[in-house]
Amino acid sequence: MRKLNILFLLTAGIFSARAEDFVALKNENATKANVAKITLSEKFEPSENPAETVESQDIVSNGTAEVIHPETTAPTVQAEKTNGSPDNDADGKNKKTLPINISYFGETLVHPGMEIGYENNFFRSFFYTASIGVYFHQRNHTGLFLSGGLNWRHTFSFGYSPEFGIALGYLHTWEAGGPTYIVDKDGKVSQKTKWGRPHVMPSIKLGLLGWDLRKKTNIPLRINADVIVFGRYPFNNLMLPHFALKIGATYYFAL
Amino acid sequence: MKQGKVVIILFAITLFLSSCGDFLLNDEFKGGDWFYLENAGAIMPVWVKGNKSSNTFVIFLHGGPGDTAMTVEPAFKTLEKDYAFVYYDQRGSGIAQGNAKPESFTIEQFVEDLLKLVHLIRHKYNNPTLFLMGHSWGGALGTAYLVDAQNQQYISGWIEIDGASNFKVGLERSVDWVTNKAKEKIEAGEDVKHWKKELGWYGKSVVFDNYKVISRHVSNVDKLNGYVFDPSKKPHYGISDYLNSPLSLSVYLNSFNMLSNHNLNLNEFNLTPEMHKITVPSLVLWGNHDGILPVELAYNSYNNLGTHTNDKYLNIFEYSAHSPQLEEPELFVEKVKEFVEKYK
Repeated sequence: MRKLNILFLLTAGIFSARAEDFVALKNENATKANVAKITLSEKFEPSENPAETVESQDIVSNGTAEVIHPETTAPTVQAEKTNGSPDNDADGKNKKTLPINISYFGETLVHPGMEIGYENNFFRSFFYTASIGVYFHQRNHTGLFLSGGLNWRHTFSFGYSPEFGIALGYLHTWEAGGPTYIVDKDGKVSQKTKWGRPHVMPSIKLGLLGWDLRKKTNIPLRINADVIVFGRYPFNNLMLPHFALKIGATYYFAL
Repeated sequence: MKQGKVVIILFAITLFLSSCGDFLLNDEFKGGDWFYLENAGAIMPVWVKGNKSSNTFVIFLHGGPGDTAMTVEPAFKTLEKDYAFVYYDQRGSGIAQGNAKPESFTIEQFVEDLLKLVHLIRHKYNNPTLFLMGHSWGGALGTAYLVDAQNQQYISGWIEIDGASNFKVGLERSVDWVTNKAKEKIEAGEDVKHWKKELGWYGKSVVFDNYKVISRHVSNVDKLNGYVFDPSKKPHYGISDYLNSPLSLSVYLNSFNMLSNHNLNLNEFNLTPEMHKITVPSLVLWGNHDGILPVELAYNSYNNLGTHTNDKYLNIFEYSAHSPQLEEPELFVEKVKEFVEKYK
């Protein structure tokens, strides 16, 4: 992982540089009021992705700001130097990080389980997610699921990071707590191998207690506490609703 | 390296929480043998607990249809000291799983499930002495099972508690019961507006063919203490009872689904003409103030059973409505023990 240090010389109202020598500030305020002239210690191509631009606020307030090349910068440093949303600036795709979420997945709060997931920012505040999880409802059932979802997340400057999402998944359940028997018409009893049953698993996520530590610290971590409402279909020909509490953290591995 | 440690710690915490589920179960739901009977699309949980060494097993048939047997009442827990109790949730009921089709919600299918459960218990526990005990809808199921002479051979005794073996007449009597009580309320000046409105509703020839109608009638019975004679004895289940238990929202969903189902044809359900086929020793227990299956039905059951008069018993509980095991548990336990001890 390389890090480029770029020195800005800020000269109000004057802007002259070759295309590859400056960062085009796409932030509206920045384009109106400030132009940055940069001296590159290493040549790089400007990005067209809004998420990869430097916000004007840094430039104005600091006079001289350090620009970090988005494709080569670790998220911890980036978080220190920009006021932009970590979702926009430090997402896995643009910043070459690998966001992995590990959560306690408590079906009806107390039926324990876990979920491991991956997320990727694909447009502004929108993420897609993919996860695998398992939970244990004692003397009822064990559920194993694979799920893919669409999420919207906003991260405030102080780190608060609410999130909402919808997902569709595959849930496989096994009756839990003891063996399963079948009895034939002659009354002969045999124990059955539990292959489980397939279900469709639509879900809604209300992540009202998210907190992104990257905003105020060097820790590449986002903490989440989400309420999940998911369905289990078919269940006696119906959709059985479930509630779950998901508490965990996303670690942004630098690549 | 540091990042790897973070992941390992998080993983370990989550795995720990995932694996230590047993201590979270409410004590009420621990112990006993837990297993499942799978039949015709339904996966029915079976919970056997109590004194298994007694070699006397009582299979409890819950009410509803659609209820659960897993919220065990104190009187049964007392009886568990002497006998083993078999609690199971019928197909499409309580916490029963699988994908039982509504078409399978017929009395014939319920009886087949029960017969298979009887075979399973006999197989698993070395042919114990078996009694059937049915409450409310469970009374209908037990009766339907026993009218087949082949099925009776496995059963040493039948205990019917406020049973619905004649649902058709039961509903008619229940409507009469509510309207009479409502008139008393109006005369007493209690909640006059509500009861006048309800009398008007009953006057339109109510047909119990959907959940909305059944719910409204059930609500009226409940308000008139037709389920629990002494309201202070109403069971109260807190949220923790559900959180730390095998129970789930299926308890409500299944009940709604079952009562919305027409295959049981409850409006016409009447096993009285076949009850003479039942010849096993029988004990009929009924609450005198039952508003949903009024006490006249106790005499209907007792009189129509084919059991010899020396081997059938009737006990009316003076201070109970629909559940004497709840309202007069000591007397209930005494009567059941007398009967089981005699015929086990």
